[in-house]
Amino acid sequence: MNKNFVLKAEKITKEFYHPEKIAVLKEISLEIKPNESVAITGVSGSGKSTLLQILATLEESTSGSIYFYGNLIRPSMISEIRNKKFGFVFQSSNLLEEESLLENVLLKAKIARRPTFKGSQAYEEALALINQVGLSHRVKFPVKYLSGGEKQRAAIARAFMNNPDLILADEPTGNLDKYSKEQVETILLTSCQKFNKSLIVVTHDNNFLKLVETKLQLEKGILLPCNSC
Amino acid sequence: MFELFFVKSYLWPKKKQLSVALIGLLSLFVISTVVWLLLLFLSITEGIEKTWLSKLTSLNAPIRITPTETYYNSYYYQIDSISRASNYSLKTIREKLSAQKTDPYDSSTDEEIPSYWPLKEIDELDPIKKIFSSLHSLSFKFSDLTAEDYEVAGALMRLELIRPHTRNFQSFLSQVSYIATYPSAPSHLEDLIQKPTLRDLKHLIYLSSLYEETNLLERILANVTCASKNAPTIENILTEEISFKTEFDSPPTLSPPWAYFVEKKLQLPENGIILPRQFRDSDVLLGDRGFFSYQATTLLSSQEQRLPVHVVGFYDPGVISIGARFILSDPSLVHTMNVNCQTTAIAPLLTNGIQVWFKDYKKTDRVREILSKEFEKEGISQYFDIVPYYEYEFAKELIGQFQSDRYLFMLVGVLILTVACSNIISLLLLLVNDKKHEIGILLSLGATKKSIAFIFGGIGVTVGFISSLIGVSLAYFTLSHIDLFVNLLSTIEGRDAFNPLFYGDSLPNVMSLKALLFVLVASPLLSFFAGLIPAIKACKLKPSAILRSE
Repeated sequence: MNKNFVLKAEKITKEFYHPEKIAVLKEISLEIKPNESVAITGVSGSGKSTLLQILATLEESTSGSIYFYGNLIRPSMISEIRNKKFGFVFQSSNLLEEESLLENVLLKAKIARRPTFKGSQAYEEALALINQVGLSHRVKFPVKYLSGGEKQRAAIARAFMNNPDLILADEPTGNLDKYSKEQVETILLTSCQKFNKSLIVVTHDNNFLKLVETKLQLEKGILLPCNSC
Repeated sequence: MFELFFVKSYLWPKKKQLSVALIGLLSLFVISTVVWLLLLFLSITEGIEKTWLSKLTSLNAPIRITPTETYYNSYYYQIDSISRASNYSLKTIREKLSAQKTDPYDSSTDEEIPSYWPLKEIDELDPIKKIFSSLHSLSFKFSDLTAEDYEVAGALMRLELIRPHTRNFQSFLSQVSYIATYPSAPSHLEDLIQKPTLRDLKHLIYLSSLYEETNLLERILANVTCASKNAPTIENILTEEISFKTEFDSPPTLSPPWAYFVEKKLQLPENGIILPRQFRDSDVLLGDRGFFSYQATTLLSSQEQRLPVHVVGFYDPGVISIGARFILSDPSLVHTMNVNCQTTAIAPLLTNGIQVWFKDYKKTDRVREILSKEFEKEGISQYFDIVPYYEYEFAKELIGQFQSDRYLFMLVGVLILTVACSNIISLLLLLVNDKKHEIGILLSLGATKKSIAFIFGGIGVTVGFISSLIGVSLAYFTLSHIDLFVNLLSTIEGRDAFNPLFYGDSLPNVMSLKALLFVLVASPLLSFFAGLIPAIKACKLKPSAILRSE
């Protein structure tokens, strides 16, 4: 197995059986190289979010395999991969609303059982990431008081915690206004470039698509290069 | 551990999760109430059981050594009946112990031993002396161990009750009773013997004038103390606050007309008897006089014999079934009745034996085991049964009942606690539902299913533990102020909430360590099991489904 790919998906099929049998994804194969940014687009309901969830190990496929640096991802590895190898940015930020920004960013490190006291490596790393997304002035703020754009930036900072190899973003700018959108897109891409991370992003946003190296389109369950993007 | 952070965070009530907070508080309230009541109930019942057992073993000794049929059929026992040196009469344990000769038989003067008699055991075998020598050596191991023979007789007691200020100036009280010897060795009876009352005192003074016994009056005055330190006189002992002298370091010059102790040894005035406290309810007072009546067999008929007695005290017999019919008396009285009385209703095997006293009845099994080995070694085990208190004929049913009640209470306790702890299931199911989104986030960030289960299981255990602590504190407070609560209950009911005959003068107020350990282990454990169902539900949640639905 080729270990040059951060992530490789082989013949991923996903079928839903209720209310009737539908094959959303049909034997999709995909390879992501280190530092590569890939965008997946498609019409609503085409299954792009489902594909991203499967690639992110958050959902099981009906058939097919996913490899991380050439190693087949098995159920026993999932928690560690989610925690240390992948970073997620969702459409809604999915932060712990009652906790501070810093606590949210540190959560991944806590789950990894890394020391998170003030001055620890994880603590400094969290501060640097918060600084990277331009939220240094909101470190102690409970997340519920942040704006939508700020929350997405916070989610980006959290995704980069624990130094993952791959960032997976599911319409990260879907709920934002134009100004915030541009801000979040720029931050996401520059952060990936700065920290040498691969990126898979599901988006409808044409401006965002233009900034990404590889553009793919999901149509009728099949993933194709996007010629119109 | 991030899990603990979430346990703490979810346990702390928040405005937004009012329903969770309310159910949490309800669970806390229910479990702590159950723990409180359970602990209170188990502590009190254990205390009552201890009090009863302590009374039982103070009165009857924790161990009795009773002669077997083999002993009574042995040459050693029977030989006195045909020996001139023994006055041709069988001997009690006490007499055997003080006998000069183990074998009093003299073939030159005594009649021939019948052919059907048991064979003579080896010459040096003197079972009674061997028992006491074994017990003596045992007293080095158990410092408070003492042993003394006892005798029990059956007789009709008849008391004359003279009450000058009542309609019936004179009445009689008759009762067939067991008359037992009181221990003259240091015993643990002082807690059971009740002190005289002012009414007793007045009655004694009245009797001294009725029978013109100035000596009785002198004995009374010499053994009461006035709180005001005034010299006791008839006038001031009836008007002032007084206390009765019942404990002495050396024999008093003028002995009191009631039961007293000299160096922990019980002393009764001549012909004195101590009655169970129930007799007080029949208006018996200190000083009342009467007699024991029994039938003595003569050549042609049986004659009624009477031994004069008078009441010198009352004791608390606890709750044993024959407690109200058990009278303590001077050994000489009991012996006289046993020697002459051929119609005793008591099984012959029970009339004579040895009581082994020690304070802590929990050592009974150990003492019994050592004694058995000693008897085995001395070759006298076939002559005697070593009977622990829980096998006494008159007490074993009650003690068996205590034991089965204890198991039953424990079982009921576990059931109630299980029901109370299962409240946690609803709390946690609600919490899992409420925190679905956060569970999804944690799972997507790499938290394992084990961690999620730990968070919810941990909440269950914490609720169980905190509730137990609250319940334990409440139980401790209640037990420390038990009299206050009993008085309150009695006031509400308009009568004694707890009958002193069964429960003693006050309810036990010591927390049972067994019960404490039980609730501190069982309640968090049951809460943990209750938390498992919601925890499993939480683990099975799929992050993709949760986060997508958001």
